[in-house]
Amino acid sequence: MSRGRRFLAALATLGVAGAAAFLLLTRPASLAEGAVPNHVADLRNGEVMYHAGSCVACHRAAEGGPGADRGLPAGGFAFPTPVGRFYPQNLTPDPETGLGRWSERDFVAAMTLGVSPAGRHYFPAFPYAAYRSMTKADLLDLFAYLKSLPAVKAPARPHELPLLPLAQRGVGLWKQLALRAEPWAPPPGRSASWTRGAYLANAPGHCGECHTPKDWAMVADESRHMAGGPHPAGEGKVPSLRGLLAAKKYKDVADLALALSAGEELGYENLSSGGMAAIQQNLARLPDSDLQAIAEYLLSLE
Amino acid sequence: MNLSKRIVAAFAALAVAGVAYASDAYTARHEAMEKVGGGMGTLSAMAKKETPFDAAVVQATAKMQEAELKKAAAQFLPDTAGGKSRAKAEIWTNRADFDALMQKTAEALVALQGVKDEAALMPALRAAGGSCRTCHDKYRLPE
Ligand code: HEC
Ligand code: HEC
Ligand code: HEC
Repeated sequence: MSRGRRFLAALATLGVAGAAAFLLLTRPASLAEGAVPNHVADLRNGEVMYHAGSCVACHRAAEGGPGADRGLPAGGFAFPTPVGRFYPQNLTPDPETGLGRWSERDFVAAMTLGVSPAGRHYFPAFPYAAYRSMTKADLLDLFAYLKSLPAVKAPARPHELPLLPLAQRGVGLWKQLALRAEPWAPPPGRSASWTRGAYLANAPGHCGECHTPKDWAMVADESRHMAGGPHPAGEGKVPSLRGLLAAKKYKDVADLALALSAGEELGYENLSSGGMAAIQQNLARLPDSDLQAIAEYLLSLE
Repeated sequence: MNLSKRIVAAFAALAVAGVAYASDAYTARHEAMEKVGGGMGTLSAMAKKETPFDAAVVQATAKMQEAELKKAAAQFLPDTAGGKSRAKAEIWTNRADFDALMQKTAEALVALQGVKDEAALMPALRAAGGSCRTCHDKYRLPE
């Protein structure tokens, strides 16, 4: 079954409860009072989060569009999915077309609840199911970093989705399932570097968006965490990140860290297709200690 | 054989020939690309100082890669996507861009052939490999 059909089937199964229940269940949530702590922003850390999250992979400027020459996340580049074509918006601080007028609260609500300042559900093509596990401090640093970028005027281009209004409400149902569990938190008792790597991969890195297969309701199947599966864009497969050492794909932590940093530039040929090239090139901008940490975490997955 | 049977047989033969054409092209480019990839292994081991630097080996390897890449480029014939192939259909709708990326990569491999000292290997190799990545990002499906 295609992703779109599965989504509709999920809607049909869940939607029988009736319109009233549907509207109640699909009402966008809002942040609790005091959910955004006072915080002195660390722009350096914000930049690390920006690259770890590969924000610009999806929010990059349209080819030849405003901001494209400077690699700014001005939005407009098409992000195709089986349910339709998205145009992720402008993340630069332009007041009219970007995040210029957003408050910290707006940003934290978008990243952790998937809800817009106007109270609309964002589609899960925006990987807030992973970003919601970021710490508040990291989110606020990231926001401050975005606000420090040059402002680019680039109005949002409407997404091209069939059944847009219904689908938008339907996302509320999906969230009931996908965001039901507590946000991801690292298990205790591991080394500082393993814990850092696990956090970077699972929260900002959103590696599981592709590497963890999804169940019938398009929710990540955590019993098969990072085990690979069909590519979410519909064609081909995503490789498993478990057992990379046993499969002799990488020699050791240093080798995998180098693979993440150089990718195919140094002949690591399984890091280029299906969207991985953009992720790899964003990861390449992380400090080496963070790449080592991610590699240590990945090689511990059996 | 009556006429209609002959027509059916002719169509069947054409269909079989079509499949053979697609799979021959796929096999030929797949094998050539694998050799280009093998060359990357040799050169990256040298760049990472796992094997000693040898300008003659660099030159011969990059020359082989250039030749094999050109062989592969010639095998992206129309209607040969699908099946085991990881070629994206966009290759045939953006043919000029695809060919330009092949050309750019071939030029990077020529530059690599001219590497004479160890310090120059790493940047020349990374430029060539980055060019492989650009095309595999745009025009190759995940496995
Ligand atoms: C896999 C693609 C993808 C990645 C990676 C991604 N986004 Fe997005 N983002 C989207 C899509 C698609 C939307 C639009 C969702 C909608 O309109 O329903 C979006 C919307 C947003 C919005 C709402 C913008 C608005 O004007 O309403 C914000 C804020 C945002 N993303 C921030 C980020 C940040 C920060 C990062 C990096 C940490 C990031 N995104 C990474 C796909 C992505
Ligand atoms: C957009 C989907 C997507 C996301 C997000 C993603 N990956 Fe990948 N990843 C892939 C695909 C597809 C491949 C295979 C690429 C190829 O064959 O050229 C891959 C390959 C890999 C490989 C190579 C595996 C092997 O068998 O050698 C590693 C390592 C990897 N990814 C790590 C990560 C990490 C770490 C993250 C998160 C920071 C991540 N990926 C996020 C899609 C993704
Ligand atoms: C202009 C595009 C382009 C360039 C440049 C290119 N490739 Fe490829 N490569 C492809 C395509 C498309 C495929 C998939 C072919 C198929 O399956 O039909 C492929 C397949 C491969 C494969 C085989 C993978 C598999 O599973 O079949 C390897 C290895 C490879 N390329 C290595 C390289 C290296 C190394 C370079 C750079 C020196 C390079 N390629 C440059 C387009 C390109």
